[in-house]
Amino acid sequence: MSKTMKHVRNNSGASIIFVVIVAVVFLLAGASVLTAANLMSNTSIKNHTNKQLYYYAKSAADVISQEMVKNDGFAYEIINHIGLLGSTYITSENNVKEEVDVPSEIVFDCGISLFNSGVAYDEVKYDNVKIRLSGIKLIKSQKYQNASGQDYNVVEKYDLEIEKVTISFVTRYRGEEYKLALDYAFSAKGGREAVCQWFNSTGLNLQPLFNKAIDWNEFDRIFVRVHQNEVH
Amino acid sequence: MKYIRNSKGETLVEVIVSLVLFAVLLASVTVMVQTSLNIAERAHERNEETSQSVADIETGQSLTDVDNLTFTFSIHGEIDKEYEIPVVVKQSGGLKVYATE
Repeated sequence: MSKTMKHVRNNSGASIIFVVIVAVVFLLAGASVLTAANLMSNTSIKNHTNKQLYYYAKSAADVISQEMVKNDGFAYEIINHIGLLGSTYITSENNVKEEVDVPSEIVFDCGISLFNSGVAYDEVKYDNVKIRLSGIKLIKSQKYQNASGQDYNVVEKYDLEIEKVTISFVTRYRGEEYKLALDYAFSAKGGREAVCQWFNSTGLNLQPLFNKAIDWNEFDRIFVRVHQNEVH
Repeated sequence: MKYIRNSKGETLVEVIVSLVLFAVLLASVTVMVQTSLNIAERAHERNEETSQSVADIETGQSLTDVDNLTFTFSIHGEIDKEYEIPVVVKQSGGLKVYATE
């Protein structure tokens, strides 16, 4: 008797073994397909969550940008704050360009909240909101006197230069984080510097010399940096 | 012929047990594959919906107003100012954006 035939003859109950082997193979294949499908599903959910996170961040950035453009008070607050920082500056000669001693960089801690009929809208959260003004220069460019040359009717002109305005914040949505920073170039009508005037006698309180002298519409968004899930 | 005649082969019970096991296995695998297909189809639909929503938002089309919120932007410290800006939440598919009115 050959070995093969012996094996066939003694093959009692082999069908169950065969079925078990096929079962294992099929179940492994089924489990793989199920795992792949779940992975695909999770990826699509994450993709959707990431898109929503991005749009919540972008919406907030756009609202702040538009507020900067539309709300003159916002511009005045920022400019006057810079003026107050240089309030110890004592004006000297007429018509001499002098740089006022103000910090070259100022960071404002801010907050963003959303409310629905007075109730906090919890779907999305914004943290670590900052406005950073960098490359600040305040230069006294001119000093006008009245016709008689006396000081009491003096008007001082200042050129305010801000190299860059950066708004940054972290958006949180469904356990995901998104850090978004927007950089803007500062410019004013007719040039890079905004022309301001000395506003009252209590300090160097600046206001734009002419209405809309600082044209916030000319804030150009230079670029958008997005660091997903990187919170520093 | 001698070998074949002497082969024990399968009993009827073994064959039935094998068939039952195979049927149960086939049913399980069918359910698994069907479930997988459903999950994959839902994922595909969700991706399509997300892509369509992104396209709608970028073009500003097919957006539905779903809510009115107040966006509060505050500057802390020496300035200490708060700006309340009414915004409208717009939705396309499952994605929401908000913008000033």
